[in-house]
Amino acid sequence: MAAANIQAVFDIATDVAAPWPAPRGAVFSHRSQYNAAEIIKSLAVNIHGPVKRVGITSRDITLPFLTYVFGEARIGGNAAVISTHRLQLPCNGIIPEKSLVYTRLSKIAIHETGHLMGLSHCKSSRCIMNFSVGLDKLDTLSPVLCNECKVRLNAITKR
Amino acid sequence: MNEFEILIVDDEEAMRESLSAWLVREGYRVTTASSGPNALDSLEKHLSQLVLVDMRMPGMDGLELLREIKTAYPEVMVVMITAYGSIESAIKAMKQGASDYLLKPFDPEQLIVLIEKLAAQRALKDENQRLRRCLSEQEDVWMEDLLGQSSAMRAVFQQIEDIAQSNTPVFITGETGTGKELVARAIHLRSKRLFSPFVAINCGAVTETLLESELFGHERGAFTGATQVRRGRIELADTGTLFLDEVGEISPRMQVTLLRVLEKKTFFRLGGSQEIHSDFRLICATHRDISALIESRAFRRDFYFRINVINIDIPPLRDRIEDIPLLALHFLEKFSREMGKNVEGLSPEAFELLTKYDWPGNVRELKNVMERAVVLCKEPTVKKSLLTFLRPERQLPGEGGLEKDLIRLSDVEASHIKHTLGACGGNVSKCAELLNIDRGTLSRKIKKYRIKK
Ligand SMILES: [Zn+2]
Ligand SMILES: [Zn+2]
Repeated sequence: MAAANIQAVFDIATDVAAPWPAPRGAVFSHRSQYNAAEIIKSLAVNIHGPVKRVGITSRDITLPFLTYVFGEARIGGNAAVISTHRLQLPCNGIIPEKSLVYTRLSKIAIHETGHLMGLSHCKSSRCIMNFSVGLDKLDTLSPVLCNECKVRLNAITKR
Repeated sequence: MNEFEILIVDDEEAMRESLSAWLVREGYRVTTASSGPNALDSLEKHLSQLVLVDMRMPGMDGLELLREIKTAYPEVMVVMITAYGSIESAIKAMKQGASDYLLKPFDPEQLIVLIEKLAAQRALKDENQRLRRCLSEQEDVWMEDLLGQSSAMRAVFQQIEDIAQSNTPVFITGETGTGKELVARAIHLRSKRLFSPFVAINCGAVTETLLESELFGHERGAFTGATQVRRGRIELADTGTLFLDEVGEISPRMQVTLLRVLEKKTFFRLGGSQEIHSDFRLICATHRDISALIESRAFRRDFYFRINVINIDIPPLRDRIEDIPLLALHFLEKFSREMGKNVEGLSPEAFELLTKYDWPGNVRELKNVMERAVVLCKEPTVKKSLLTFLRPERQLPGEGGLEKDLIRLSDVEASHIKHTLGACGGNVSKCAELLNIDRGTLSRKIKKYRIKK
């Protein structure tokens, strides 16, 4: 589903790869969380040609200084990682439906791919690149790029 | 948020790298440094607005770096990043000037909100600075006529600096044309009220009824002709400065009313029943001898004590002769530039004449004289002959041909006033009545012609 959405938004061919092992040393032992920066480093090795790799994990991921992240990707990088861990946590005692979790996952996949394609965060509240924190915020966004971001993306891919 | 730059200082590469990537995605410009000394080098080359400093670093630690940054670049904001459990050092850092701190690990929301807040603060500060710069340019225009290097004027400038920040009433004394309003404006522009209005009113220029409605404003129908509600100067001066020029002309009855306003900071519009609050700083000025007015009961002692908390006395021009050449050249340049003329200076004789004249109209008179000189001047230098309309106290020998034999209207006026005043036994009011002019005008003329009562 994430792959299909990425393909729809960015008009790039997607493929689903075999499961990828979590890299050693990526776990914060004292926090039982995985270091997203280490994961994208390991995902980015052996990439040849114009290929981007987006990893999806059910583990909780974060960065050394943060309590959590939903996903992590560097601008123009080759690899991103997304975690479903916090997308399915109960909110006000209600466990989110599977379809909602998938929608969230797809949105984050689009967002992180946007970073891989060279986009940074956007000020338009209707743009998926606007998202930076909070599930509430994520749920209000449509899984699309605003026109400005489309223009930016166009300019980047032409280069 | 444009041009908001962040410097990250951390000895751990992973931390630097992921934090900087994170902030770059947020749209900020980011640089990194791996140690305190590196950070200081980086700031020297290129000033960031915000520095995120890791508390624990080998060598120069976070607190030490904070101190160094705050000493060298006080306007740079510093946020300390520290591990849980070391809140004491974070609080210590706040006391030493850190803008905030973050306890590691922190929520992404927290980081975004904090940085947006600091960026907004910075933008506001920049905007204030821009306004201030813009005002100080205006201020230069205002202040230029107050030029002076004499110790008397330097003391006045110092006094302005000393008292500008307080809210105490200021009483400015000085002869006509010495620049009392300029001093009042200078105080306003140096005070915390500078972004609020400076409201001036010349109390000697209007009748008592008009002054009252000017000061207090009026409600609709308060008197014939009051077809609309009008806010008075006191109300307009709220959060700003109220300048009452020629305060000596206010009637004792009005002084009582004003005294009440000064004490309660509230008043009523004419014909109004609703109490209105106004927070203003009061600056009063007069060219008159207030103690004499108090003596003659034309001025209330209690009102005088209320408005005269700080007195600034501007010396007359003839008491600071050393400032005359400076001012003369300043006005010469100003008018020459404004009129597109090429008048560069004054001849030594012209300077001498200027310093010998006794300037009853003070700086304003000098300004007018220089304006006239620039208009008439056809050479790069203003010669003494262009200034012959100035009569020094002692007539300079060999001066003026035909002019010398003419009697000036002002001379006739002066001698007539002197004569009449003598006949009235020195009673100014009576004399004014006889001459059919108002008392204020007569007082000014007496002062101008230096007639002894
Ligand atoms: Zn993002
Ligand atoms: Zn956008």
